[in-house]
Amino acid sequence: MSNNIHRNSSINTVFRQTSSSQRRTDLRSIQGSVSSHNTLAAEIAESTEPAESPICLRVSSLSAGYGRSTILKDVSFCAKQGEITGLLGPNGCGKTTLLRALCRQLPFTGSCLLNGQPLEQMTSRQLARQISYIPQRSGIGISMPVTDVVLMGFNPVLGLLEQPSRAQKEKARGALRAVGMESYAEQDYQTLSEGQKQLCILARTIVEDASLLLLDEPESSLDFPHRHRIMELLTEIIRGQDMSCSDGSTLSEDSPDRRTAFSGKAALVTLHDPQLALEYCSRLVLLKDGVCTTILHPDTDSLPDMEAALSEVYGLIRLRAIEENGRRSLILLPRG
Amino acid sequence: MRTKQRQNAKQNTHPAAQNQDSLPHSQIDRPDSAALHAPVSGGSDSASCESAQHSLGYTIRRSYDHLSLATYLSALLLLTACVISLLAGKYPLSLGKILAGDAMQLQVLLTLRIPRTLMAVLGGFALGAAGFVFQTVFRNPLAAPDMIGVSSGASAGAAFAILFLPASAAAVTLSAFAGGLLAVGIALGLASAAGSGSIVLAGIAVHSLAQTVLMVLKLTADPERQLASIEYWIMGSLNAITLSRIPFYCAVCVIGLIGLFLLHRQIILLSVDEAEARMLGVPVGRMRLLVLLLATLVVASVISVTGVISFIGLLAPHIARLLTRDNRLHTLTLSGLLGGILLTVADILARTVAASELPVSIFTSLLGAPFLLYLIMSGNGGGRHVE
Repeated sequence: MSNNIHRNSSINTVFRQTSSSQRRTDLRSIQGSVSSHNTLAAEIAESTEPAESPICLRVSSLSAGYGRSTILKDVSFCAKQGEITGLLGPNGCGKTTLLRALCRQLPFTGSCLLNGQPLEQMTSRQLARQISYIPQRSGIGISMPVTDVVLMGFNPVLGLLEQPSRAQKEKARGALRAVGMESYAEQDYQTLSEGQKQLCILARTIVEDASLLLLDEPESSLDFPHRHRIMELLTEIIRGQDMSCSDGSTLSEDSPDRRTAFSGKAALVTLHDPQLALEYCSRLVLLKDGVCTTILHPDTDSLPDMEAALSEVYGLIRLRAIEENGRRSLILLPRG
Repeated sequence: MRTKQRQNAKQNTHPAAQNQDSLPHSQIDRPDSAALHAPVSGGSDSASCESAQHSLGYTIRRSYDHLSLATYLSALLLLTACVISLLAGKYPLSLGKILAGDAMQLQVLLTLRIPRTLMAVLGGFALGAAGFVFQTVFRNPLAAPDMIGVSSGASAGAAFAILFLPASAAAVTLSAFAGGLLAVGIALGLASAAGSGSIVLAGIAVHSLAQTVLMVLKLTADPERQLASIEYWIMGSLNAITLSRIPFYCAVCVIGLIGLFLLHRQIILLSVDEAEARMLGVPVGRMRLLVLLLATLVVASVISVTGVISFIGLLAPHIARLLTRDNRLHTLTLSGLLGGILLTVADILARTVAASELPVSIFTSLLGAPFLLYLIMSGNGGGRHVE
């Protein structure tokens, strides 16, 4: 126990050193000196992984912040098609900042390639077509039927004065059916529960048909079943496979390799719940104080490695695995 | 728009559409991922597309019924108010005499009543529709054109004309229009220079600046004549509107309104959180400026002719939302129609209840506020309409 505490504090010291030394240096010089090293590291990491899932988003030595304070420091990772990439870390570690930078709402340094194209070279409209952003709680403040909320998703492909076509309305209907909200189509969005609202926004994401999905803590205001429902639906959207079962039982039993199939879409999800992240994400980017500490692969990494990495971020935790129908589920426990 | 929906509703009176009600709930609710990845235009899964079409038809028919009732009733009411407005006044007209060709009656009808009624209908429609736009874009149920200084700018402009320009109604109108646009121009210019989000603050600054100018002008005014006419202008009236004075302002107003109706979908998108709207492909900053510019143009063109008319822009959209409970195009239309009714009826009362003309704003709130209260009390306003 005391040994653990000692280890933890030494980790903290290391972090404090890195972050303070970075604070002293100008952002640009960090980019210049470290980026080459980091891209190299990212490339090496890639080459060891199966080649069939192309990279959707490649972030190399990204630094971003508000005004003069730098929140994110030199973060590098990849998000692959057909995979859910999780962003995990305590409050204030820079998860939302990272998403906001990727939406180009914050100035950033470093490079972000979306399907090979630099993010900063894209027009706003291109960006809107390629990225679907799902905020923690959707900021729809006025009454409107659920259908209209879903139809908003067509805006990036519609002309300024164009109205959604009949086919698009049908597709919106189909998306609502896919998330199990079809019977609410004409109901006022404001009268829905938080979980139903998230499902409705997910239906909007389906019609948007973007190649990268950015979700900001989609689970934060949801109850237990809705959390899993949202993540299962997200998995379906990302994989692009025909899933006609609503309880998700086929998901876990039939396809142990469910995280490796791809549909051309990738998701980057910030999550508060590490349990949920371990369950649904193919890779986990762990952030602490704006620095990426580790990138985990919950399917393949060993239990002690993951336990150590998660402890680094969350303080000491215990990670246990249970086997069921040949599939490993991970359980996170507070230190005992 | 309306005819399109009617066609859709007709096409979908397929037997299966009526059966939608009797389908077991679970069947409707069941997720169907075949539709999840169906292409936008093609029907990869014809069965699912067909059922979607039928339920869609069902929905459209239902909302169409809803739409027809409130909107058509308002249109009918507005038409009735128009006819009364043409006939009522200090010099009452009668349909019989007009049709008989009475020269005096025709003269009054053409030079006084038609312009006045036209201005009341168009002005009310414009104020109601613009009020809807302001409340939606600012996501504030109390938002009004004055938030970005248009009516205080127009008031200052009118006061300037009353004090310094040769006394003519046309000069006052033009000066008020210029004042309103100047105020809005400064507010929007400041906002776009300082970055989006500061538009309300810029509006408040310009509004108080214009109020100060107005105050100074009032101080220098001759209290007997000039001050009285400034006050009277500010209270608003459709008195003394003649045919020659309004064509330009009507044209500006109609153009602005057409723009707003065309941009309706974008206006609704602007009500969404800025980050979210931007990722939905809305150029938020530019679009907000454009929509606000159109809305204030509409308002400025009306109040520079009529003087400041209060409450319509506030009451009409709320009543419309309570009646439709969505923010679709018909809510915007209904806001306009209700605004038209309010102003037309208020104007009829303003010129008939007392020996002299009364300010029209008195009656717009007297008529509208009780109706709004009734809708809220009767539980019709259960859902949140504007946060």
